[in-house]
Amino acid sequence: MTPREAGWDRVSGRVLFVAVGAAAAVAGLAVALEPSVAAGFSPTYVAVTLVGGFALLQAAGAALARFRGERRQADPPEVERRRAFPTPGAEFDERLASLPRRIGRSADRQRTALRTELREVTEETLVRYGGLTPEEAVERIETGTWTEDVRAVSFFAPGADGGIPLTERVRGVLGTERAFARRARAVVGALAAYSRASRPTGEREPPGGDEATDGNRRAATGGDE
Amino acid sequence: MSEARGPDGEPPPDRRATPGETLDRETNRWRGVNALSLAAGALGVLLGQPGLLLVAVVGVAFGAFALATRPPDVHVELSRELDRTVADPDERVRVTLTVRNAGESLLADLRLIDGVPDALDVVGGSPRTATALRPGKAASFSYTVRAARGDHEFDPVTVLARGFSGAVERETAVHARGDGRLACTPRLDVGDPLPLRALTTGYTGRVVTDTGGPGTEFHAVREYRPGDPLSRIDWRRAARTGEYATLEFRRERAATVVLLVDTRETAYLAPDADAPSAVERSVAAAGELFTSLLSTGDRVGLAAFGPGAFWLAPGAGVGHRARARAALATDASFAPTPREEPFFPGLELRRLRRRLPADAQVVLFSPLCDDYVVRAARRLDAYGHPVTVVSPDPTADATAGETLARLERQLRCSQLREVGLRVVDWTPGEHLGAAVETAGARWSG
Repeated sequence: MTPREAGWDRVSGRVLFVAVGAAAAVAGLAVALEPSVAAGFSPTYVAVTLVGGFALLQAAGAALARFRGERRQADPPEVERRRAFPTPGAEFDERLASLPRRIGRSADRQRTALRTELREVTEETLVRYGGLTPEEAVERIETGTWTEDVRAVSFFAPGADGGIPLTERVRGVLGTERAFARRARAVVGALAAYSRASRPTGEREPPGGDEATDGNRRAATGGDE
Repeated sequence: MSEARGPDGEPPPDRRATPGETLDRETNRWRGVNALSLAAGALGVLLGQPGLLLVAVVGVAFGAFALATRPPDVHVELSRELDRTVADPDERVRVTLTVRNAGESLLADLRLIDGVPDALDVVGGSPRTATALRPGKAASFSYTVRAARGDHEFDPVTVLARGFSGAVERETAVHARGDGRLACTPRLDVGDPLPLRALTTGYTGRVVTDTGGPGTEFHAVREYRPGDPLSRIDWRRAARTGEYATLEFRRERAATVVLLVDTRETAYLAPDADAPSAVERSVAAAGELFTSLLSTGDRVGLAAFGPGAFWLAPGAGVGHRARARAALATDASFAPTPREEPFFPGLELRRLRRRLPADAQVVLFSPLCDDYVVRAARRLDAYGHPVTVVSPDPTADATAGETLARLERQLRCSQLREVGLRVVDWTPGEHLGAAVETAGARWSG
């Protein structure tokens, strides 16, 4: 049924209801003015009770619909403020927060994607800030010797979670946040500490500025001839 | 006139009507009255209480009225007036919107929300109003916006109307006649100079080369050759030894520089809701640098790496400066909010390479928050256009994701430096000159 047809159906239903209601009201008015119209029609108590019961059911249905259904109206945007721009990393937070609690293929896929991403950053951080070779970085991650934070270590090396205190484990079971997300945050914290503690190695920006601004002349390494 | 409805038969609340389209929403506001009326009627019948039955009749009458009413016919004419259509940055601009009921029927409940451009803040009054209008009558309201860089187009006005019962709300959008644009062109201030890379042109300029010749900085002494200018002969040596020698200075050359601003949608990032976007900071920095490079005799071009792919070939002169100023202020490629157009970065990078003069170096303005731009910078550098990256930092560290994004950006800066590109890491709130000086210390070290 197309939306237009649905709209028509609703309108014709309404017209029917209004027509029935109007007819009943006219009949009632006629009976009130000229009782002889209703001669031979004597409503028994059962009939009245049936009408009352039907009305009560309708009332219950309408009340339920009132409490269930929300008030609908347009929700226009906040045009008063200029558009706010996203902050880098918001998408990662969103992915971490929306990890399904259930075990399943989709959850596994999401976890693997997050783990791969974090692992790549960890390897590169260890290489650039720790001065390790890529092979050394991989070895440190797999043996769990790249940081002293046991939660961060256990994110990549599941066998290394023996060092996590019991209270922490209990909180992990009872808490709302899954152990995966907490450990992922621990990895980010450990990496941030790692990068703060040292400067990247291997950077070789062209030495010797080339500009000849006043009082700050430096030689270029080439030029045209 | 078309109808648009969601799966439940109603348009979702956040869906906006486009001009010429009508969206009707049943507000459900009479449902409670209907329930109460039916309950009163039922109890009246069952308990034999005529009073309750009478109450129900009143409620049912209202309910029937609400059910039978149709959404109002909305025919309104709108006109917008700005007290100026060209403003300086941060200047207050008053907007007055007038609405006239051009239809035949009374509009009992009319609400209007003006389509304030995305990049403008309302600083006084409200761009919304609610009124009731008889046919032919008009009402107006005004509010104040703060001008910001860009050529801002006002969106259509959202009009919401309800009948007396308020059972159905009709939404439509109407273009306002009159002023629909506000242009704001910041002045190009002369900024601090940026040390350039070693690719120069044949023209005299400020970039000191390793080649000897005329200049001011001493380079070497060589044997006199016939034809050398007398002013460069080392007369002291000639007096002492009787041999002629010629003083060589470092040649100072001009450079050709193309300022390339990353305007892809992924570059519209900011550390918090109130901060300017990385593109906004990039455009401001490009403007400063454009002027300072022109003033030192370099040839400067301007390009956008994003939808629209703006290109202004390197040049010099007052007219060139004016063109760059206008482009940075109002060209859609440098718009303060991202353009919703497809962009093919690989294609654009190839086109950019074809456009770049052989002796051009590139200053790339990018927040460096994705890997593609790093590859693009490396490719341009590898093709013989030395790249300096000025990177406004849009990262924060309040959450794990933000900290990770900051770390990834630092790693990208490090990758670029490792392959010999210069990177100016420009933190929010820092003066560009200070950031350049900090980075320059690294280059000269």
